[in-house]
Amino acid sequence: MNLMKSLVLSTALVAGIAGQAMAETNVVIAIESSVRTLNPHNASITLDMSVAGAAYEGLFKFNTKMEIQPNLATGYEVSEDGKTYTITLNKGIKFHDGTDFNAEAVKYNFEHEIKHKLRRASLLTNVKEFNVLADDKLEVVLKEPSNNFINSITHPSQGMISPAALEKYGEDIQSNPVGTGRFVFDKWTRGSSVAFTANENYWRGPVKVDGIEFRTVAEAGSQLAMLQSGQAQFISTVAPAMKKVIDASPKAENVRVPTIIGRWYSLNTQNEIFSDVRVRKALNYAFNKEAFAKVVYNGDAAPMTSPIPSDLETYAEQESYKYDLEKAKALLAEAGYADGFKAVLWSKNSTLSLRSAEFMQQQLEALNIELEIIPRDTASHYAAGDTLKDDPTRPVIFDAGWSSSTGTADWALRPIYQTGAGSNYALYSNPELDKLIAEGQITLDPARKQEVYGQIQEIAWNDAPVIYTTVDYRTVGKSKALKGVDFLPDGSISVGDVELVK
Amino acid sequence: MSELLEARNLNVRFNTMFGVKHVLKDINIGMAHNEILAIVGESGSGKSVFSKSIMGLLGERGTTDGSIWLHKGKTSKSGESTGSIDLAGMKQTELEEIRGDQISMIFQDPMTSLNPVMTVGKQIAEAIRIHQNKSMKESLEEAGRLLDLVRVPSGRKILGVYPHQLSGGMRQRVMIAMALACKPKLLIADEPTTALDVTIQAQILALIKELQKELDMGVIFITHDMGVVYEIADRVAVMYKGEVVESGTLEQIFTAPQHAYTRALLAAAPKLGEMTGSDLPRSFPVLTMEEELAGKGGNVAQIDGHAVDYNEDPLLTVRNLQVIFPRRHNFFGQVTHQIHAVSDVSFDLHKGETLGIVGESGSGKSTIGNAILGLLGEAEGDVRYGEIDLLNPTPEQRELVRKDISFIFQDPLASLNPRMTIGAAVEEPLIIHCPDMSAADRQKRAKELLQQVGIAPDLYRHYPHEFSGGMLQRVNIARALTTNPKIIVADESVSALDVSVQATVLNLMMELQRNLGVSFIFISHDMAVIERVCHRVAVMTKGQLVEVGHRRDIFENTQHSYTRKLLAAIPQIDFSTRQQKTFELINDEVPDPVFPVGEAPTPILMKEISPSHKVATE
Amino acid sequence: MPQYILKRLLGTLGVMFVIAILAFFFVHMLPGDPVRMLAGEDATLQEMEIIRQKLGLDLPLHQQFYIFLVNLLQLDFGNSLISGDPVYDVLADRYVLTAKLTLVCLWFIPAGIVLGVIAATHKSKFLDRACMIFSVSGISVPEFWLGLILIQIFAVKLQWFNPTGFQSWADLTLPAITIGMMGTAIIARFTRSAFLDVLSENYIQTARAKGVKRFNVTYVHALRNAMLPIITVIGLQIGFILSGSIVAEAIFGLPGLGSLLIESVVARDYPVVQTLLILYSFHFVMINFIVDVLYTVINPQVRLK
Repeated sequence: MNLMKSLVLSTALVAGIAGQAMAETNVVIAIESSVRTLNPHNASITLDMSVAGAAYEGLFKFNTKMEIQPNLATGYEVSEDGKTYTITLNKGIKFHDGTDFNAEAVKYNFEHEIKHKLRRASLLTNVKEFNVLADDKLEVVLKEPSNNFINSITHPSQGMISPAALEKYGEDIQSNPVGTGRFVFDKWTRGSSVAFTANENYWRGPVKVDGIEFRTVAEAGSQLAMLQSGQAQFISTVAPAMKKVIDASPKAENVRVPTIIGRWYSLNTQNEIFSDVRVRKALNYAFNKEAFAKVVYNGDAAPMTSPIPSDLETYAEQESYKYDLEKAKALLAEAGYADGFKAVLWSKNSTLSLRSAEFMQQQLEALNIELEIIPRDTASHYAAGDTLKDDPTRPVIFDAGWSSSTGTADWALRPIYQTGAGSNYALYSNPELDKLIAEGQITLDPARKQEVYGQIQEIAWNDAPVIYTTVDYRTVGKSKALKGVDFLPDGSISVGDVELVK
Repeated sequence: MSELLEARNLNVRFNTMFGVKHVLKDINIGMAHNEILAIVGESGSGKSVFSKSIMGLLGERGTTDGSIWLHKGKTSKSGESTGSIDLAGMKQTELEEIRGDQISMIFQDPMTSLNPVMTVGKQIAEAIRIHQNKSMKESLEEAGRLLDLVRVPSGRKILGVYPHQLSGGMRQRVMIAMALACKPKLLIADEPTTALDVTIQAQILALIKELQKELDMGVIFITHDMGVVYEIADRVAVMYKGEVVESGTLEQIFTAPQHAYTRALLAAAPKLGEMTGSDLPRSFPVLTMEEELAGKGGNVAQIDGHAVDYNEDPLLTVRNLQVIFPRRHNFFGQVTHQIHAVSDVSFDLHKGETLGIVGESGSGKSTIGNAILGLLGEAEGDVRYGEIDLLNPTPEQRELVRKDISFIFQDPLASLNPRMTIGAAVEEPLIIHCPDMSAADRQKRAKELLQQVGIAPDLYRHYPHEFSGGMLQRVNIARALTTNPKIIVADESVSALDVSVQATVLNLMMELQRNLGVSFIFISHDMAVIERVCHRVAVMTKGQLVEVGHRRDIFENTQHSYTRKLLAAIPQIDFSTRQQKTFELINDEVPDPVFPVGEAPTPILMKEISPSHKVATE
Repeated sequence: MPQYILKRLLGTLGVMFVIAILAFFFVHMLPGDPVRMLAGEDATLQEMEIIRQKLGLDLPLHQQFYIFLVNLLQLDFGNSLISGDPVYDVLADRYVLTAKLTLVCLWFIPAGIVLGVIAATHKSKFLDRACMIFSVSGISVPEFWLGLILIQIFAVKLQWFNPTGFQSWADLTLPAITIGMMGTAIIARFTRSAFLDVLSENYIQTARAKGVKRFNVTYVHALRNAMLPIITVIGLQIGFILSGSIVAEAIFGLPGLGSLLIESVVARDYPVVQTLLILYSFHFVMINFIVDVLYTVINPQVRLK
């Protein structure tokens, strides 16, 4: 026993010293999956952009309410026709490698992105040309008028990379980020961690911590242990059972954040049964959203009240599909399906998705609808979804969801409801709605824009091509001492004026 | 008389799952320093437990009371005489000093009693090193000398080989060398020759006897074989169910046995030469041991076997049977060496006849049996049963053959499915061969058969593990009889049984032959049993048939040198001619007949001595 | 003996080639589209097409296979679809970590053997029962539970270790216990039964009859014979650990091969998954080879055939 104890203790001592030696003002953020790329222009996952965001800054940024704030840019002006944007930049900013940040650098960034067909160049498809008007003035000419161009470049992927570094590293820029941000890239251990040190010449003034590190730990329980032991100050995943533990801790707290991730089950409207709007509405009435949020999401969700989440621009609350089984039965009987029918539910195979699918299955049982659940892993699920249009007659209910990464209503609605759009798994088609979507994109007048998107939301809501379920809430854990790191509704972690308050 | 070892009121009990078993009951026995004491008994008699209790090797479940005195032990390392010690009262650590030094032991099976991953030299040297404080080098030199002592040719050369590279006889010599490493006062040999061929057995017996004289030590020789006892012992103790029922000098025991058990044991042991002049087999004059001990034995009649009509055509003819197995392969999987397990063997089997096939291990005798049963795809030649070519039967013929030719194997327990009642086992062939028979009829027939082999029909629903070996072999015989076969192949089917049980099972087989006219192919290594039960005998060695003839041809007009050697090696129980046997001490086992592809054993030419008697020319 | 080893190694090469080909087809038979996973859920079809062409995934399968084969013969396993880095680079760090972890986990071998021997030599007594209860718990306690409990006790409460990450070898203590527990338990059980078999062998009785001390009977005569079946189990266990422990890696935030496999399969990163499959097979083939060689070293009956 004594031998064992001293053995364990001596090993522990070594470990303990190692732990103590770490700079006390080093902030560790635990994230749930590993980073794939540190080039935000080419990232497909919000998390990658968040991590790169420690080194990169965009021209504008979102605040916690998804409102646009100036960042590297001080402001912008739009021409009357909505086709020309003039952006004014801050002066005197330098990239980490000493390169000057100016309008030329911004132009280089955007053109590089388009030229190399990077993943996020899609945000710039409407751009005709960039003109440098002055060192601090960039003119952007669009092909079509747009009211959401600034949103597009506020997207977390649109950080500014040093043009010299882009030249130097080529594709390897993805593992050697050089930006203007608070933190300078230090080391990326694949699959494990990305470390940054404070930028001593940060343009906004001194950085209050020595460094920041993003560490991948998939298991929520381990993230909690990191927070409890002080190894991490921010953890991205808090399992329901862990909330109480964190609440009870004097040093840590839960932060519950609404997101702009909406979830629903698309109904294949080309199928005979689901082509009847009464059936679709009946299903919406038969689905108890409050219970769903409580049972499946442990409260980390709220019922959808519009086709778009409430934190997005132009959100307009719709008349709720309040849980009403009688009404659902009546509608179904009216449509000729009083005895129910059989359908298949294609679901992702994660625990959460399966629990959702089973919940749906039970809810629809009350209408005598027999659901067969077909679970697939994420890759197979979307591959199957892409084949729906090849044989559109199947009674398929498709597990789907969306987050408008640009924070615009357009990107929240167009990919889902426009005829033939990429994520239109309901195969929904409404010419009137298509027309409004086209109009929405070019409407500059804020009042009219609100009106157009209000109409789109109303039509989509009443046509109910999907069973609307919930908007996600996200609970993250953080040390009470940590300031300046926020979880945004678009799912990104925003690294701002980081500070560890003693 | 009890100057070396003396057991006083020795009792041994074992704690088992089913309670305490009293396995040695009040043993009182003594022996002198220069004699060979044979302890004879059948399975369950406690003879091995006795030897282990001397060695202190009973294990933790055994409890001993009484005492085992070792007198005038060897002088200890420090130079003082250890005087008398009570082995039964010693601790394991103390016994470790005695074991291998003052008392040592050799075991039954030389194939498994040596550590397979240690060289022979090291295993012998280990015993020396433990007790004599010698260096490894000295010990190995001593080991070489010991191998010379046990007559291993160029003994030093085999110090570095592993046990599996040696033949069984050689291994037993190594075991003996190991046991003698520290010149013990007492050597315990527990069935040391049972697993060996008779010719090897004879050599080992002679060796032990010689060494006993040379080293002036006491030997306790444990065996079940009365013949071996007769060969080797000065004094004999007979054990039965944990008790010594009788002890005395060799002559007392063999000429004037007092206890019924001893008498029955002697009657049941086949004695070579006892049947001289008899044309027919003859039953043993014994009843079952229970009946014997109940006093029903004594004058049991010896009944002659079935008389065979040799004018009839033979039931089974075997001509030029050859079985070749691949033995070694090259890199590409081609066969480079073959083992000629059976080459060019011919014989007949008549109705109601028992043909003995005798030979030592590796002679090919069992292969012949398997070929006749159609179990070997490698068999070539002409084996005919009536019109049927047994090596290539049509599917219908195969059915018939399976009905008409039956079998009994060596291990009675392993031959029966442990999850099937004996009744079901006996019935099983009926389900296959007479699918139309009703369940009730099947059961009736099975009960009749059990009755016929001497098992009470109400044991029908019992399972194999509830029976003794002899009873089980009766069940196997009943099963073999189920389909009314014409021929039964009995492969070593009594060699695993105790002598007294063996005699009754053989009696049963002979009785069935008289009543049913069934023919037996009786495969055995035991010449004495063959003499007792067979009408004709075929002698095999190295896959070849060297002599075949009527019983009297073989035993009274022996022609081939190998047959003579076999006969000479068998322990004799005959006081009138008792004499010291002499053996060439170095005579290694017959090697397996392995030849490179393309080569074959030299064909043998059969010479006819008489119409019934053929011998291979030498 | 060298000839035997050479022969076995040549055979191994053939096996590996066949495995590599099978790996290609198994991986490409997985349903799901790597491009979809790479582009993200909100990608348009045009975007996906661009990526597809970039990665050469628009080629017919037989052409992809041809390229794979040509590269394979030059021991080039291609580039990761996700990061674009050569598979070698993607694997290198992960492999080093898994190898280190495996090294630390080897404690389970002596621990398992000692427990098994203690149990066997004290059969049906208290020590045997205790060892076997430990062993049953080791097999039945889920890895993630054990890992989290260890973290709670030693990292959160006692603060002896870091809960996650790998900065020093000490950080591998808890993962090694978590992963090694199962191996220890399995080897203990195996050792016990192999030992009991050997202890009932006749040559053990012979050794005791020679007066060999109990300790030497156990460790000189019995252990070497009992090692034969145990070695096979040890080899298999090492093979499993060398493949990366998915659970332990997730809990302790260690980027080893296990989590790489999961990430790559989820993303349908064909070249990485293929290479991992080949690597895993290679481990087992090599371990099998080593076990066979050890067999011949330990067992003269095999060696001298």
